[in-house]
Amino acid sequence: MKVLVLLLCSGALLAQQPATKLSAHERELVTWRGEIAPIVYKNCLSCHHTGGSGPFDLSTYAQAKRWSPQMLDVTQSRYMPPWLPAPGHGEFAGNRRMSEAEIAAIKAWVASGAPEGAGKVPVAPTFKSSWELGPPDLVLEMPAAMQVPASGTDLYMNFVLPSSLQTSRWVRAMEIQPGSAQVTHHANVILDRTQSLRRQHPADWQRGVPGMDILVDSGDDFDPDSHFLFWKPDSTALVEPQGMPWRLNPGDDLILNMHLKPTGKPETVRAKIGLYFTDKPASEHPMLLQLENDAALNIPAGATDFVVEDELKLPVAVQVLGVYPHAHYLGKRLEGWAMLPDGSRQDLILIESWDIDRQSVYRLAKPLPLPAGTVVHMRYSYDNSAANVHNPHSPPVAVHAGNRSEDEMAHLWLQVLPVGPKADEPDPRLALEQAWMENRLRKSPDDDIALYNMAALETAQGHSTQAEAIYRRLLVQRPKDVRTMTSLGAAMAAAGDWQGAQQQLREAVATDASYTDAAFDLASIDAEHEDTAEAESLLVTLTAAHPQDGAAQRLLAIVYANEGLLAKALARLKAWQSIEPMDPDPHRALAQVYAQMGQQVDAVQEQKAVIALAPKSASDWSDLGVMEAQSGNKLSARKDFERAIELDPSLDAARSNLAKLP
Amino acid sequence: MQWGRAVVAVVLACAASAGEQAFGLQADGRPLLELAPASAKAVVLYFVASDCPVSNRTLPEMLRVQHEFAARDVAFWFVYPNTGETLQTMTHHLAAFGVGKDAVLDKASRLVALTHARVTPEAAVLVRDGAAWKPVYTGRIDDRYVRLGVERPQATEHFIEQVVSEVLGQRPVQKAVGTPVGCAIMNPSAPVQTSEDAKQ
Repeated sequence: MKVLVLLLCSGALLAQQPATKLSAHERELVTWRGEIAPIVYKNCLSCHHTGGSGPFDLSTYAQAKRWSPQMLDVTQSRYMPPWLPAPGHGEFAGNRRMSEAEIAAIKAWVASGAPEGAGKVPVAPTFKSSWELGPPDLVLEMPAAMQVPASGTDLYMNFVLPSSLQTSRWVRAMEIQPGSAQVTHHANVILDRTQSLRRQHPADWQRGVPGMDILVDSGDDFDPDSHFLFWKPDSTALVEPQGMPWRLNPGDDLILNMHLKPTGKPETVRAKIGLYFTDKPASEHPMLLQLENDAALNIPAGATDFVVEDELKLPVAVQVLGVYPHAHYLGKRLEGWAMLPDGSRQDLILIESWDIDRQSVYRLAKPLPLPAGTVVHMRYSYDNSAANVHNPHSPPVAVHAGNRSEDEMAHLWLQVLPVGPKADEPDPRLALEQAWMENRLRKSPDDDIALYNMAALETAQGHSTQAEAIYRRLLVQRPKDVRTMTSLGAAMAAAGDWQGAQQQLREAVATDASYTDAAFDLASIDAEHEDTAEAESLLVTLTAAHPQDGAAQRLLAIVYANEGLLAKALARLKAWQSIEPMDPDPHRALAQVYAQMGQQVDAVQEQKAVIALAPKSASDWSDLGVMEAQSGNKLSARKDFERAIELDPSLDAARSNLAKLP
Repeated sequence: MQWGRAVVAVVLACAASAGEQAFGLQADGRPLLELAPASAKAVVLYFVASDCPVSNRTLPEMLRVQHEFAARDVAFWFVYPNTGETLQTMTHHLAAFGVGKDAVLDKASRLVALTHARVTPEAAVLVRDGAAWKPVYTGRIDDRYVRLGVERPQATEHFIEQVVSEVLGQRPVQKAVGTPVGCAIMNPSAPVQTSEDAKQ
């Protein structure tokens, strides 16, 4: 016992000294310097380093020894590293599941007193304290900091980050700096192309909107490009695969959906999103598909194994790039798989013990090809009993689908890339979207989102009459919905019934004069059919309220030009050009108006601006030649026509103009 | 377990030989010689660590119970038992979490030895036993944490609040149930323990 006393009283000193002479027993020990440091560095340090998102650092022996009992606990239970998918049911990139041998080594190490061992002192990997990929091209920050209280249940908040872009950009990578990584459990970025969350919450969007899930309006265009933009504490920069940047347009909002965990003291959170751009547009166009069965989520209190299922038949061949299973606190076992036309099964994911605190997007290690005709399945079970410690209700109550954390969800998102569409074939994502929406309607025939999207799909495919019928059906359900009224008007116009469309859109404007789409669409029809007074009135109001609406400025310029009010038209075209500085169209229109006004020098200057932005446009070179000729500069005009012919030898107008020059 | 307790006793002997008689050092550096005046009806010891996330997340509950009973002759001490703690880390932590000054740095593990606390956060409730204080409860503060990584949205049982009420009401004190969840107390005077050990 005396030896033991000595060891304990001088333990702190001994811990600093490398062991020099080892007994046979000591040589057999699992040690920090031998086996454990490499395991910890590989599996733990991405979070557990100074400045990292983990609550403590594990870089050194002393630090690891301090936390060795917890390392044993959390690796035995597989709470850490955070990784939910069961092995053998999908191969994922960045698999964080520790091997049995690694877990056994930690157990042996802790059991033998967590010895340091002999040999070289391990060198821990280093981590950047700032942006992983260097300074971003654009940093967006929450409009205001949020105060997270010291205690209470977890918070789920949505913050709107306006993009402030002047032109569309392609985003190749994104990184989130949560501000306080200890508070932020995970974050999801949702692209809101229509500023819908801002519009839904005009008074409080800058403070954040509560809710575990949100629904944003994707707009009326078929624009299915979609990516998983998910962040969790062990995430570094999220770099998109080659050829798959995502598009960020002027006016787009990024919604930062955050899961915040009180730490015991008041915290301040003000997250930043760093964006890295590329000049190369997307050459591959993935989309997100969703299996879900929220309508079936009527989970009785006390139910221990409540099951919901969904399935979706793929009309086209795809590659699955990633999966994102999602349920709330009652989720128990989550499974997704695909049945191929040949009868074989491909597992997409299996999570045997769901834990929303460790939810994640899982990117496949390599794309999984699924042929057309494959049926994708999901099967989720839920535990709404008191035995489920995560249950938000005590005692349990019946739970239904909803966006609040105490509600439930049954979603399995897939990111898919259609395989090999040819240039002359319709976008295969149309068929995927249609299959998805038909699946929703099969489960819920009055699903208004699915109906609206089906109508939009019909419109996108030129089936205006079918779209009109669906919009009319929707209006029976939602008679005062100005968006549906407007879309119906647009479908009627597309079908050739412009008078009916005009009447329909006037009803929409009368219902909600602030709904810009209705006013714009009505003004467009008016302008086309020479009701310039109504068009001008609508567009003057619209541009006063939304001076950055380039399309409205352009249309108002056309209206003025048609009325012969060229000076007013010029002012609107200049406004449009300042909104779209990289677009040659405003310069082209300005050149035409200046030419009409006899201001040839200005016309030439604007047309040269067109050429600067579109140097390979033969017709623009030809137009420049005309303007140069009209301003008496024959030599320049000749060169312009020759350049136009060089770019497009079949351009007869340029040949004819060139022949007219002396 | 017997081995661990034997170690504690031996280390206490080491500390005693150095002339240390206090329970530890208070935030202002003075030794803590008395846990509470003779008139106090109970003493609550909260074992905490400045670097333990579970301990930190439980601090608001500890403070709530302290606030509830502070005017009822109950003394509260936030005990920092880990070797790695210093007066500086302790005072910084007290300020950051709004804990006040009722804290003691227990480097010699006297309070750990007295109560057999194993992890942070854990609590002990002590009552008068002649001239000394004896623990009547050592265990979980509430039932929010089931094990590391598994927690309820909020606690359904508030053990310390119940135990103090029982002591003040002179009712039988409930036995500690369940396994304290958190970070093992790291002090050569206190044996390294895991949750698995604690279940035994």
